[in-house]
Amino acid sequence: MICKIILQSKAPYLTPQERAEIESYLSTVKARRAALEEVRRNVGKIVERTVARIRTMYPQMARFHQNGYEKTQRDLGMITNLTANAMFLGEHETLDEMFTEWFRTIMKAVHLTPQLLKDSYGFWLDEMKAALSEESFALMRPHAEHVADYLTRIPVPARDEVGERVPVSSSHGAESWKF
Amino acid sequence: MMNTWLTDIIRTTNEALFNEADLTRIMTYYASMPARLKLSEELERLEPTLVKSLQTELSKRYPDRSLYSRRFIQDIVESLRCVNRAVLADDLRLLRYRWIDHVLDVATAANIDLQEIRDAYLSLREILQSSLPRSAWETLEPAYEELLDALTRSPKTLTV
Repeated sequence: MICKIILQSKAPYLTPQERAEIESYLSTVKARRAALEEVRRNVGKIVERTVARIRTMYPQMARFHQNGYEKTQRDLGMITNLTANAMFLGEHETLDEMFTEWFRTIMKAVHLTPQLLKDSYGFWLDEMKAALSEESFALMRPHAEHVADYLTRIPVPARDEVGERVPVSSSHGAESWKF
Repeated sequence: MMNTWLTDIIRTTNEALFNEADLTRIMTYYASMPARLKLSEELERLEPTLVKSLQTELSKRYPDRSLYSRRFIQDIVESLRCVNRAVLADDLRLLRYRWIDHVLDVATAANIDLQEIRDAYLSLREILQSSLPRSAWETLEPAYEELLDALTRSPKTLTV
């Protein structure tokens, strides 16, 4: 947030609005730091539980993708970390420049479906909400929803490689998330 | 977009969470932001009066120097915007990229004696020291000294 404003501002000196944005962000950094530490303590749990639910809903994915669940676990850990860093910094433009667009291209290339990604990120948000305090999740949520929204906007592949989708009774609340 | 130490940390950290050392550095920087913002406010407030004050001071001290036109003095005063931006970012590389390299190139191309430019900044320093609150001057001083220091070295040394 601060970096972006200072480097991108076109005004000779910061405008009152830019200054107010920085001050507003600074008033939240202690809470952001605490939320980052909470994510650090819980990232393993969030990812494991998310992958377990994906495995239940998409039991055949490993037939199409060797080590598919393990790779999903690795990727979700990375995405959780990147999202937490974006939350701490108070902006996700840098994250998008570094990672999100590139990663979405990979998701398209391996013929995943938008439905699988919506299910997966719905589970991810559910588990993040369950694992974090209300205050920390409130800070994470806009950035996590942004990442989920960005990564699920892919076309339906001509031939998907995810296998059967098994509706489960403890289904996620993806419809309640903003993506 | 130009990188600062903070963007360097973000890119180096990549997919890991920020580590303790980086977080400590970032939090220390954040704690210093109110003072940096205050300096920025003070410089913006002073800028309209600085051109006149500097012009008066330079014509008194160096009545024979033709370099000190109103346009030149205006540029010197407006260069404080680059100094301010570097202080806000806590990265003197911004000052180097956005002003120092430029002024050294111009001085070389126009065959201007760097000492005359430095003298103008020395006069401006005195005005700033007497006009800014002490804490604001202390926030500005390291960057200002960097600028003065660069003007004592030859352009060739700096571009190596």
